[in-house]
Amino acid sequence: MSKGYIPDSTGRIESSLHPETGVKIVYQNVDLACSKAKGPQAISGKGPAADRMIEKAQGFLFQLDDIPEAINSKVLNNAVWFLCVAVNGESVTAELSLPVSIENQNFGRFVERIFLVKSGEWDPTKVAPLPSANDDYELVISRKE
Amino acid sequence: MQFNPERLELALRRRRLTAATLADRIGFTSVSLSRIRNLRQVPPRETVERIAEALSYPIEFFYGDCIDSVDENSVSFRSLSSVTLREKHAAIAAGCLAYSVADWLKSQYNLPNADLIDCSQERDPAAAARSLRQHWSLGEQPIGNMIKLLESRGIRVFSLAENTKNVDAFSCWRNEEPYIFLNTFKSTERSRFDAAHELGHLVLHKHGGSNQGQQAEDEANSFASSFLMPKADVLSQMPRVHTLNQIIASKKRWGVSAAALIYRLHKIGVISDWQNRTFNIQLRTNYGSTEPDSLPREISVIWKMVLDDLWKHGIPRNKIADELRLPQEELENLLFGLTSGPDLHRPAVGKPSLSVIEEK
Repeated sequence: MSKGYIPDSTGRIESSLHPETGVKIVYQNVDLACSKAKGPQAISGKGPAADRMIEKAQGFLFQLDDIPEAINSKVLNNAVWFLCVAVNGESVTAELSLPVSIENQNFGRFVERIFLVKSGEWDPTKVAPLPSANDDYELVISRKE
Repeated sequence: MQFNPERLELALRRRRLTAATLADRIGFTSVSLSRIRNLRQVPPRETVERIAEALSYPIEFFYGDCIDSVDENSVSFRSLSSVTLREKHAAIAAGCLAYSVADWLKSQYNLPNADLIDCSQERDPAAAARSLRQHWSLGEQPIGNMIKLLESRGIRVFSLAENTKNVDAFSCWRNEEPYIFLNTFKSTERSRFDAAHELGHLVLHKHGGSNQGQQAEDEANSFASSFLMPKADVLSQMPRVHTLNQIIASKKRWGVSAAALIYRLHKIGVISDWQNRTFNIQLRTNYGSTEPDSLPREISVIWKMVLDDLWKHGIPRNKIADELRLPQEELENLLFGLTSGPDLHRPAVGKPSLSVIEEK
Protein backbone atom coordinates (compact mmCIF):
# COMPACT_ATOMS: atom_id res chain seq x y z
CA MET A 1 0.00 0.00 0.00
CA SER A 2 1.41 3.38 -0.91
CA LYS A 3 0.52 6.93 -1.89
CA GLY A 4 -1.39 7.37 1.37
CA TYR A 5 -3.82 4.47 0.96
CA ILE A 6 -4.61 2.16 3.89
CA PRO A 7 -6.52 -1.14 4.08
CA ASP A 8 -10.16 -0.74 5.08
CA SER A 9 -12.98 -3.21 5.70
CA THR A 10 -15.91 -1.02 6.64
CA GLY A 11 -19.19 -2.88 6.12
CA ARG A 12 -17.17 -6.07 5.61
CA ILE A 13 -16.06 -4.88 2.20
CA GLU A 14 -12.29 -5.02 1.75
CA SER A 15 -10.92 -1.92 0.10
CA SER A 16 -8.05 0.55 -0.13
CA LEU A 17 -8.97 3.83 1.49
CA HIS A 18 -7.32 7.21 1.23
CA PRO A 19 -8.20 8.75 4.62
CA GLU A 20 -7.48 12.31 3.54
CA THR A 21 -9.62 12.35 0.40
CA GLY A 22 -12.08 9.63 1.35
CA VAL A 23 -11.53 7.89 -1.97
CA LYS A 24 -12.03 4.15 -1.71
CA ILE A 25 -11.03 1.46 -4.22
CA VAL A 26 -12.63 -1.98 -4.19
CA TYR A 27 -11.35 -4.92 -6.24
CA GLN A 28 -14.01 -6.54 -8.40
CA ASN A 29 -13.96 -9.54 -10.72
CA VAL A 30 -16.12 -8.71 -13.74
CA ASP A 31 -17.28 -10.35 -16.92
CA LEU A 32 -15.82 -7.76 -19.29
CA ALA A 33 -13.79 -4.57 -18.92
CA CYS A 34 -12.83 -1.72 -21.24
CA SER A 35 -15.75 -2.29 -23.57
CA LYS A 36 -17.31 0.89 -24.91
CA ALA A 37 -20.49 -0.97 -25.73
CA LYS A 38 -21.14 -2.39 -22.29
CA GLY A 39 -20.26 -1.57 -18.70
CA PRO A 40 -18.62 -4.17 -16.48
CA GLN A 41 -20.83 -6.56 -14.56
CA ALA A 42 -19.71 -8.21 -11.35
CA ILE A 43 -19.38 -11.95 -11.86
CA SER A 44 -20.98 -12.78 -8.55
CA GLY A 45 -23.45 -9.90 -8.58
CA LYS A 46 -23.67 -7.08 -6.05
CA GLY A 47 -25.57 -7.21 -2.76
CA PRO A 48 -27.20 -4.66 -0.46
CA ALA A 49 -23.89 -3.84 1.31
CA ALA A 50 -22.35 -2.59 -1.95
CA ASP A 51 -25.58 -0.80 -2.75
CA ARG A 52 -25.49 1.07 0.58
CA MET A 53 -21.81 1.90 0.18
CA ILE A 54 -22.29 3.37 -3.31
CA GLU A 55 -25.44 5.17 -2.24
CA LYS A 56 -23.60 6.73 0.69
CA ALA A 57 -20.56 7.73 -1.32
CA GLN A 58 -21.98 8.70 -4.69
CA GLY A 59 -25.66 8.97 -4.00
CA PHE A 60 -25.68 12.43 -2.41
CA LEU A 61 -24.50 13.90 -5.68
CA PHE A 62 -28.07 13.56 -6.84
CA GLN A 63 -29.79 14.44 -3.56
CA LEU A 64 -28.66 17.99 -2.97
CA ASP A 65 -31.32 18.58 -0.30
CA ASP A 66 -29.48 16.21 1.96
CA ILE A 67 -26.29 18.24 1.89
CA PRO A 68 -25.99 20.70 4.78
CA GLU A 69 -24.89 24.27 4.20
CA ALA A 70 -21.41 23.60 5.53
CA ILE A 71 -19.82 20.29 4.71
CA ASN A 72 -16.41 18.80 5.17
CA SER A 73 -14.74 19.10 1.78
CA LYS A 74 -13.15 15.69 2.30
CA VAL A 75 -16.59 14.12 2.27
CA LEU A 76 -17.44 15.86 -0.96
CA ASN A 77 -14.49 14.22 -2.65
CA ASN A 78 -15.20 10.76 -1.42
CA ALA A 79 -16.22 8.14 -3.91
CA VAL A 80 -16.14 4.39 -4.22
CA TRP A 81 -14.24 3.26 -7.26
CA PHE A 82 -14.14 -0.34 -8.41
CA LEU A 83 -11.01 -1.84 -9.92
CA CYS A 84 -12.85 -4.09 -12.36
CA VAL A 85 -10.71 -6.96 -13.65
CA ALA A 86 -11.89 -9.41 -16.30
CA VAL A 87 -9.90 -12.60 -16.82
CA ASN A 88 -10.92 -14.68 -19.84
CA GLY A 89 -8.32 -17.35 -20.46
CA GLU A 90 -5.04 -15.55 -21.17
CA SER A 91 -6.83 -12.29 -21.90
CA VAL A 92 -6.89 -9.83 -19.02
CA THR A 93 -8.58 -6.43 -19.12
CA ALA A 94 -9.04 -3.92 -16.33
CA GLU A 95 -10.71 -0.60 -15.71
CA LEU A 96 -11.29 1.75 -12.80
CA SER A 97 -15.00 2.47 -12.64
CA LEU A 98 -17.22 4.79 -10.61
CA PRO A 99 -20.75 3.32 -10.53
CA VAL A 100 -23.80 5.46 -9.79
CA SER A 101 -25.93 2.74 -8.36
CA ILE A 102 -26.71 -0.95 -8.07
CA GLU A 103 -29.58 -2.07 -10.29
CA ASN A 104 -30.91 -5.61 -10.53
CA GLN A 105 -28.22 -6.80 -8.14
CA ASN A 106 -25.37 -5.55 -10.31
CA PHE A 107 -23.73 -2.33 -11.47
CA GLY A 108 -26.11 0.09 -13.11
CA ARG A 109 -24.81 3.21 -14.80
CA PHE A 110 -21.35 4.69 -14.31
CA VAL A 111 -20.25 8.26 -13.73
CA GLU A 112 -16.77 7.57 -15.01
CA ARG A 113 -14.77 4.67 -16.40
CA ILE A 114 -10.97 4.75 -16.77
CA PHE A 115 -9.63 2.05 -19.07
CA LEU A 116 -6.40 0.69 -17.56
CA VAL A 117 -5.59 -2.48 -19.48
CA LYS A 118 -7.37 -2.71 -22.79
CA SER A 119 -7.91 -5.86 -24.78
CA GLY A 120 -4.59 -7.23 -26.10
CA GLU A 121 -2.42 -5.12 -23.80
CA TRP A 122 -1.91 -7.80 -21.15
CA ASP A 123 0.67 -10.21 -22.48
CA PRO A 124 2.95 -11.99 -20.02
CA THR A 125 5.01 -13.34 -22.90
CA LYS A 126 5.70 -9.95 -24.48
CA VAL A 127 9.39 -9.04 -24.40
CA ALA A 128 11.33 -6.01 -25.53
CA PRO A 129 12.69 -6.58 -29.05
CA LEU A 130 16.40 -6.70 -29.75
CA PRO A 131 17.78 -3.39 -30.92
CA SER A 132 18.08 -2.78 -34.60
CA ALA A 133 21.61 -2.77 -35.99
CA ASN A 134 22.49 0.50 -34.33
CA ASP A 135 26.02 -0.22 -33.17
CA ASP A 136 27.47 1.14 -36.36
CA TYR A 137 29.29 3.92 -34.58
CA GLU A 138 31.75 5.46 -36.97
CA LEU A 139 35.24 4.45 -35.96
CA VAL A 140 38.08 5.35 -38.26
CA ILE A 141 41.77 4.93 -37.62
CA SER A 142 44.64 5.32 -40.04
CA ARG A 143 48.27 4.42 -40.00
CA LYS A 144 50.67 7.32 -39.52
CA GLU A 145 53.14 7.73 -42.35
CA MET B 1 70.27 2.54 -21.11
CA GLN B 2 70.55 2.19 -17.35
CA PHE B 3 68.58 -0.14 -15.10
CA ASN B 4 65.32 1.54 -14.12
CA PRO B 5 64.16 0.68 -10.56
CA GLU B 6 60.71 2.20 -11.23
CA ARG B 7 60.10 -0.56 -13.70
CA LEU B 8 61.14 -3.11 -11.09
CA GLU B 9 58.48 -1.70 -8.75
CA LEU B 10 55.95 -1.93 -11.54
CA ALA B 11 56.77 -5.55 -12.30
CA LEU B 12 56.66 -6.42 -8.60
CA ARG B 13 53.19 -4.93 -8.31
CA ARG B 14 51.98 -6.69 -11.43
CA ARG B 15 53.17 -10.02 -10.05
CA ARG B 16 51.71 -9.20 -6.64
CA LEU B 17 55.01 -10.00 -5.00
CA THR B 18 56.70 -8.38 -2.05
CA ALA B 19 60.34 -7.35 -2.31
CA ALA B 20 61.16 -9.90 0.36
CA THR B 21 59.67 -12.71 -1.73
CA LEU B 22 61.59 -11.59 -4.79
CA ALA B 23 64.82 -11.35 -2.77
CA ASP B 24 64.22 -14.88 -1.57
CA ARG B 25 63.62 -16.15 -5.12
CA ILE B 26 66.78 -14.65 -6.54
CA GLY B 27 68.90 -15.60 -3.53
CA PHE B 28 69.49 -12.03 -2.33
CA THR B 29 69.06 -10.52 1.08
CA SER B 30 66.33 -7.94 1.44
CA VAL B 31 68.96 -5.33 2.14
CA SER B 32 70.80 -6.07 -1.12
CA LEU B 33 67.58 -5.89 -3.13
CA SER B 34 66.62 -2.72 -1.32
CA ARG B 35 69.87 -1.11 -2.47
CA ILE B 36 68.97 -1.97 -6.05
CA ARG B 37 65.42 -0.65 -5.66
CA ASN B 38 66.72 2.61 -4.28
CA LEU B 39 69.32 2.79 -7.01
CA ARG B 40 72.08 3.02 -4.44
CA GLN B 41 73.60 0.18 -6.38
CA VAL B 42 73.35 -0.36 -10.13
CA PRO B 43 72.78 -4.08 -10.58
CA PRO B 44 74.98 -6.00 -13.05
CA ARG B 45 73.19 -7.51 -16.01
CA GLU B 46 73.36 -11.02 -14.51
CA THR B 47 71.40 -9.82 -11.48
CA VAL B 48 68.79 -8.15 -13.67
CA GLU B 49 68.53 -11.41 -15.62
CA ARG B 50 67.73 -13.25 -12.38
CA ILE B 51 65.15 -10.61 -11.45
CA ALA B 52 63.62 -10.80 -14.91
CA GLU B 53 63.43 -14.58 -14.74
CA ALA B 54 61.88 -14.53 -11.25
CA LEU B 55 59.25 -12.04 -12.38
CA SER B 56 58.74 -13.59 -15.84
CA TYR B 57 59.42 -10.24 -17.51
CA PRO B 58 61.81 -9.68 -20.43
CA ILE B 59 65.13 -8.35 -19.21
CA GLU B 60 64.87 -5.41 -21.62
CA PHE B 61 61.80 -4.23 -19.73
CA PHE B 62 63.99 -3.14 -16.82
CA TYR B 63 66.13 -0.95 -19.06
CA GLY B 64 63.31 1.22 -20.42
CA ASP B 65 62.31 4.81 -19.74
CA CYS B 66 60.07 5.71 -16.84
CA ILE B 67 56.41 4.91 -17.47
CA ASP B 68 53.73 7.45 -16.51
CA SER B 69 52.06 6.44 -13.30
CA VAL B 70 48.32 6.30 -12.77
CA ASP B 71 47.23 8.73 -10.07
CA GLU B 72 45.87 6.47 -7.35
CA ASN B 73 43.60 9.24 -6.11
CA SER B 74 41.84 9.35 -9.44
CA VAL B 75 41.03 5.66 -9.34
CA SER B 76 37.98 4.24 -7.65
CA PHE B 77 37.43 0.61 -6.88
CA ARG B 78 33.78 -0.29 -6.60
CA SER B 79 34.28 -3.09 -4.07
CA LEU B 80 36.59 -1.01 -1.97
CA SER B 81 35.86 -2.90 1.22
CA SER B 82 36.94 -6.23 -0.21
CA VAL B 83 39.75 -5.20 -2.56
CA THR B 84 43.16 -5.91 -1.07
CA LEU B 85 46.00 -3.43 -1.32
CA ARG B 86 47.89 -5.93 -3.45
CA GLU B 87 44.97 -6.27 -5.89
CA LYS B 88 44.64 -2.52 -6.03
CA HIS B 89 48.34 -2.02 -6.75
CA ALA B 90 48.32 -4.75 -9.41
CA ALA B 91 45.35 -3.14 -11.20
CA ILE B 92 46.91 0.31 -11.09
CA ALA B 93 50.21 -1.09 -12.35
CA ALA B 94 48.29 -2.60 -15.27
CA GLY B 95 47.02 0.90 -15.95
CA CYS B 96 50.63 2.14 -16.12
CA LEU B 97 51.50 -0.55 -18.64
CA ALA B 98 48.41 0.43 -20.63
CA TYR B 99 49.74 3.98 -20.84
CA SER B 100 52.85 2.74 -22.61
CA VAL B 101 50.69 0.60 -24.93
CA ALA B 102 48.46 3.59 -25.64
CA ASP B 103 51.51 5.71 -26.40
CA TRP B 104 52.72 3.09 -28.87
CA LEU B 105 49.29 3.05 -30.52
CA LYS B 106 49.22 6.81 -30.77
CA SER B 107 52.68 6.87 -32.29
CA GLN B 108 51.59 4.47 -35.03
CA TYR B 109 47.98 5.40 -35.79
CA ASN B 110 45.69 8.40 -36.06
CA LEU B 111 42.90 7.85 -33.55
CA PRO B 112 39.57 9.53 -32.76
CA ASN B 113 39.92 12.54 -30.51
CA ALA B 114 38.19 12.64 -27.14
CA ASP B 115 34.63 13.90 -27.55
CA LEU B 116 33.19 14.16 -24.04
CA ILE B 117 31.23 16.87 -22.29
CA ASP B 118 31.96 18.19 -18.83
CA CYS B 119 28.89 17.76 -16.64
CA SER B 120 30.61 18.39 -13.32
CA GLN B 121 28.12 21.17 -12.59
CA GLU B 122 25.12 18.95 -13.30
CA ARG B 123 23.50 17.73 -10.08
CA ASP B 124 21.25 15.15 -11.75
CA PRO B 125 23.20 12.18 -13.21
CA ALA B 126 20.19 11.18 -15.34
CA ALA B 127 20.20 14.64 -16.94
CA ALA B 128 23.94 14.29 -17.59
CA ALA B 129 23.30 10.93 -19.29
CA ARG B 130 20.65 12.54 -21.49
CA SER B 131 23.01 15.42 -22.35
CA LEU B 132 25.77 13.04 -23.39
CA ARG B 133 23.35 10.97 -25.47
CA GLN B 134 22.24 14.16 -27.16
CA HIS B 135 25.84 15.27 -27.71
CA TRP B 136 26.62 11.92 -29.29
CA SER B 137 23.34 11.90 -31.29
CA LEU B 138 22.25 8.62 -29.81
CA GLY B 139 18.60 9.49 -29.26
CA GLU B 140 16.78 7.01 -27.05
CA GLN B 141 18.10 3.92 -28.80
CA PRO B 142 19.88 1.13 -26.88
CA ILE B 143 23.67 0.97 -27.04
CA GLY B 144 24.69 -1.93 -29.30
CA ASN B 145 28.43 -2.25 -28.69
CA MET B 146 29.49 -0.23 -25.67
CA ILE B 147 33.24 -0.57 -26.18
CA LYS B 148 33.00 0.43 -29.83
CA LEU B 149 30.92 3.47 -28.89
CA LEU B 150 33.48 4.56 -26.29
CA GLU B 151 36.41 4.02 -28.65
CA SER B 152 34.67 5.91 -31.44
CA ARG B 153 34.38 8.90 -29.08
CA GLY B 154 38.10 8.91 -28.30
CA ILE B 155 38.10 6.98 -25.03
CA ARG B 156 40.97 4.51 -24.68
CA VAL B 157 39.55 1.23 -23.42
CA PHE B 158 41.70 -1.55 -21.99
CA SER B 159 40.87 -4.80 -20.29
CA LEU B 160 42.03 -5.96 -16.89
CA ALA B 161 42.25 -9.73 -16.69
CA GLU B 162 42.71 -9.52 -12.95
CA ASN B 163 40.98 -12.79 -12.20
CA THR B 164 39.24 -11.28 -9.22
CA LYS B 165 35.75 -9.98 -8.66
CA ASN B 166 37.02 -7.32 -6.32
CA VAL B 167 38.34 -5.01 -9.01
CA ASP B 168 35.46 -3.90 -11.21
CA ALA B 169 36.82 -1.18 -13.39
CA PHE B 170 38.42 2.20 -13.19
CA SER B 171 38.84 5.31 -15.25
CA CYS B 172 41.10 8.32 -15.33
CA TRP B 173 42.22 11.29 -17.40
CA ARG B 174 45.75 11.57 -18.72
CA ASN B 175 46.81 14.59 -20.78
CA GLU B 176 43.17 15.29 -21.68
CA GLU B 177 42.73 11.73 -22.88
CA PRO B 178 40.12 9.62 -21.08
CA TYR B 179 40.92 6.00 -20.17
CA ILE B 180 38.65 3.21 -19.03
CA PHE B 181 39.86 -0.14 -17.69
CA LEU B 182 37.40 -3.03 -17.57
CA ASN B 183 37.65 -6.31 -15.70
CA THR B 184 36.98 -9.11 -18.18
CA PHE B 185 36.43 -11.51 -15.29
CA LYS B 186 32.85 -10.17 -15.06
CA SER B 187 29.85 -11.03 -17.20
CA THR B 188 29.36 -9.03 -20.41
CA GLU B 189 26.35 -7.27 -18.94
CA ARG B 190 28.26 -6.31 -15.81
CA SER B 191 31.22 -5.17 -17.86
CA ARG B 192 28.97 -2.94 -20.01
CA PHE B 193 27.46 -1.43 -16.90
CA ASP B 194 30.96 -0.91 -15.47
CA ALA B 195 31.95 0.86 -18.70
CA ALA B 196 28.90 3.15 -18.46
CA HIS B 197 29.63 3.71 -14.76
CA GLU B 198 33.18 4.79 -15.56
CA LEU B 199 31.88 6.96 -18.40
CA GLY B 200 29.76 8.64 -15.73
CA HIS B 201 32.87 9.35 -13.66
CA LEU B 202 34.64 10.83 -16.70
CA VAL B 203 31.70 13.10 -17.45
CA LEU B 204 30.59 13.97 -13.92
CA HIS B 205 33.77 13.96 -11.89
CA LYS B 206 36.50 15.10 -14.26
CA HIS B 207 37.93 17.66 -11.91
CA GLY B 208 37.98 15.66 -8.72
CA GLY B 209 38.79 12.22 -10.04
CA SER B 210 36.42 9.34 -9.53
CA ASN B 211 37.58 8.62 -6.02
CA GLN B 212 35.09 10.91 -4.30
CA GLY B 213 33.32 8.52 -2.01
CA GLN B 214 29.95 6.85 -2.01
CA GLN B 215 28.07 9.83 -3.41
CA ALA B 216 30.20 9.82 -6.56
CA GLU B 217 29.67 6.06 -6.87
CA ASP B 218 25.91 6.47 -6.55
CA GLU B 219 25.93 9.23 -9.14
CA ALA B 220 27.96 7.12 -11.56
CA ASN B 221 25.56 4.21 -11.07
CA SER B 222 22.58 6.44 -11.70
CA PHE B 223 24.29 7.82 -14.82
CA ALA B 224 25.03 4.30 -16.10
CA SER B 225 21.47 3.14 -15.51
CA SER B 226 20.02 6.12 -17.38
CA PHE B 227 22.61 5.99 -20.15
CA LEU B 228 22.12 2.28 -20.92
CA MET B 229 18.37 2.20 -20.31
CA PRO B 230 16.78 5.50 -21.41
CA LYS B 231 13.50 6.02 -19.57
CA ALA B 232 11.40 6.67 -22.67
CA ASP B 233 12.64 3.53 -24.43
CA VAL B 234 12.13 1.30 -21.38
CA LEU B 235 8.63 2.69 -20.80
CA SER B 236 7.62 2.20 -24.42
CA GLN B 237 9.03 -1.32 -24.66
CA MET B 238 8.04 -2.56 -21.21
CA PRO B 239 4.92 -0.71 -20.07
CA ARG B 240 3.95 -3.73 -17.97
CA VAL B 241 5.98 -6.55 -16.47
CA HIS B 242 4.42 -9.74 -15.23
CA THR B 243 7.21 -12.30 -14.88
CA LEU B 244 10.94 -12.60 -14.29
CA ASN B 245 11.20 -14.47 -17.60
CA GLN B 246 9.95 -11.36 -19.38
CA ILE B 247 12.75 -9.36 -17.77
CA ILE B 248 15.39 -11.96 -18.65
CA ALA B 249 14.24 -12.07 -22.28
CA SER B 250 14.00 -8.28 -22.51
CA LYS B 251 17.34 -7.36 -20.94
CA LYS B 252 19.16 -8.19 -24.18
CA ARG B 253 17.70 -5.09 -25.79
CA TRP B 254 19.72 -2.88 -23.47
CA GLY B 255 22.60 -5.34 -22.84
CA VAL B 256 22.23 -5.11 -19.09
CA SER B 257 21.93 -7.64 -16.28
CA ALA B 258 18.51 -8.79 -15.12
CA ALA B 259 19.21 -7.16 -11.75
CA ALA B 260 20.04 -3.82 -13.40
CA LEU B 261 16.84 -3.92 -15.46
CA ILE B 262 14.74 -4.79 -12.40
CA TYR B 263 16.30 -1.84 -10.57
CA ARG B 264 15.58 0.49 -13.49
CA LEU B 265 11.99 -0.73 -13.91
CA HIS B 266 11.40 -0.11 -10.21
CA LYS B 267 13.09 3.28 -10.31
CA ILE B 268 10.89 4.56 -13.15
CA GLY B 269 7.74 3.09 -11.63
CA VAL B 270 6.97 0.24 -14.03
CA ILE B 271 7.09 -2.33 -11.23
CA SER B 272 5.95 -1.94 -7.65
CA ASP B 273 7.97 -2.38 -4.45
CA TRP B 274 6.43 -5.78 -4.06
CA GLN B 275 7.32 -6.86 -7.62
CA ASN B 276 10.83 -5.51 -7.18
CA ARG B 277 11.31 -7.62 -4.07
CA THR B 278 9.74 -10.71 -5.62
CA PHE B 279 11.77 -10.55 -8.86
CA ASN B 280 15.02 -10.06 -6.96
CA ILE B 281 14.30 -13.04 -4.72
CA GLN B 282 13.40 -15.18 -7.76
CA LEU B 283 16.55 -14.07 -9.55
CA ARG B 284 18.78 -14.99 -6.62
CA THR B 285 16.99 -18.27 -5.98
CA ASN B 286 16.96 -19.44 -9.59
CA TYR B 287 20.31 -18.16 -10.85
CA GLY B 288 22.47 -17.32 -7.83
CA SER B 289 25.28 -15.01 -8.85
CA THR B 290 25.41 -16.13 -12.49
CA GLU B 291 23.90 -13.97 -15.18
CA PRO B 292 21.14 -15.82 -17.05
CA ASP B 293 21.40 -15.93 -20.83
CA SER B 294 24.50 -13.77 -20.99
CA LEU B 295 25.57 -11.91 -24.15
CA PRO B 296 28.79 -12.61 -26.04
CA ARG B 297 31.77 -10.68 -24.70
CA GLU B 298 32.58 -7.30 -26.17
CA ILE B 299 36.15 -6.61 -27.25
CA SER B 300 38.11 -3.61 -28.38
CA VAL B 301 37.30 -2.74 -31.98
CA ILE B 302 40.28 -0.41 -32.38
CA TRP B 303 42.75 -3.11 -31.38
CA LYS B 304 41.06 -5.59 -33.69
CA MET B 305 41.56 -3.08 -36.53
CA VAL B 306 45.19 -2.48 -35.53
CA LEU B 307 46.00 -6.20 -35.36
CA ASP B 308 44.30 -6.79 -38.72
CA ASP B 309 46.33 -3.94 -40.18
CA LEU B 310 49.55 -5.38 -38.79
CA TRP B 311 48.65 -8.71 -40.32
CA LYS B 312 48.07 -7.08 -43.69
CA HIS B 313 51.57 -5.68 -43.49
CA GLY B 314 53.02 -9.03 -42.50
CA ILE B 315 53.89 -7.90 -39.00
CA PRO B 316 53.44 -10.54 -36.27
CA ARG B 317 51.27 -9.79 -33.27
CA ASN B 318 54.11 -10.11 -30.80
CA LYS B 319 55.80 -7.10 -32.40
CA ILE B 320 53.94 -4.74 -30.06
CA ALA B 321 55.01 -6.63 -26.94
CA ASP B 322 58.56 -6.83 -28.24
CA GLU B 323 58.73 -3.12 -29.00
CA LEU B 324 57.31 -2.27 -25.60
CA ARG B 325 59.54 -4.87 -23.88
CA LEU B 326 56.46 -6.36 -22.22
CA PRO B 327 55.59 -9.97 -21.53
CA GLN B 328 53.19 -11.17 -24.21
CA GLU B 329 50.62 -12.19 -21.60
CA GLU B 330 50.54 -8.70 -20.09
CA LEU B 331 49.64 -7.32 -23.49
CA GLU B 332 46.96 -9.96 -23.89
CA ASN B 333 45.53 -8.96 -20.52
CA LEU B 334 45.20 -5.37 -21.67
CA LEU B 335 43.92 -6.06 -25.18
CA PHE B 336 40.97 -8.34 -24.41
CA GLY B 337 43.01 -11.43 -25.32
CA LEU B 338 43.10 -10.33 -28.96
CA THR B 339 46.81 -10.96 -29.29
CA SER B 340 46.61 -14.54 -28.03
CA GLY B 341 46.52 -17.57 -30.28
CA PRO B 342 48.63 -18.32 -33.30
CA ASP B 343 48.97 -15.88 -36.15
CA LEU B 344 46.73 -18.00 -38.31
CA HIS B 345 46.47 -15.41 -41.01
CA ARG B 346 50.06 -14.33 -40.96
CA PRO B 347 51.41 -14.27 -44.48
CA ALA B 348 54.16 -16.76 -45.17
CA VAL B 349 57.64 -15.35 -45.03
CA GLY B 350 60.28 -16.60 -47.46
CA LYS B 351 59.82 -19.28 -50.08
CA PRO B 352 56.73 -21.45 -49.94
CA SER B 353 57.43 -24.98 -48.77
CA LEU B 354 56.04 -26.57 -51.93
CA SER B 355 58.28 -28.73 -54.03
CA VAL B 356 57.90 -30.73 -57.18
CA ILE B 357 58.08 -34.46 -56.77
CA GLU B 358 59.19 -36.43 -59.75
CA GLU B 359 56.95 -39.34 -60.58
CA LYS B 360 58.77 -42.64 -60.73
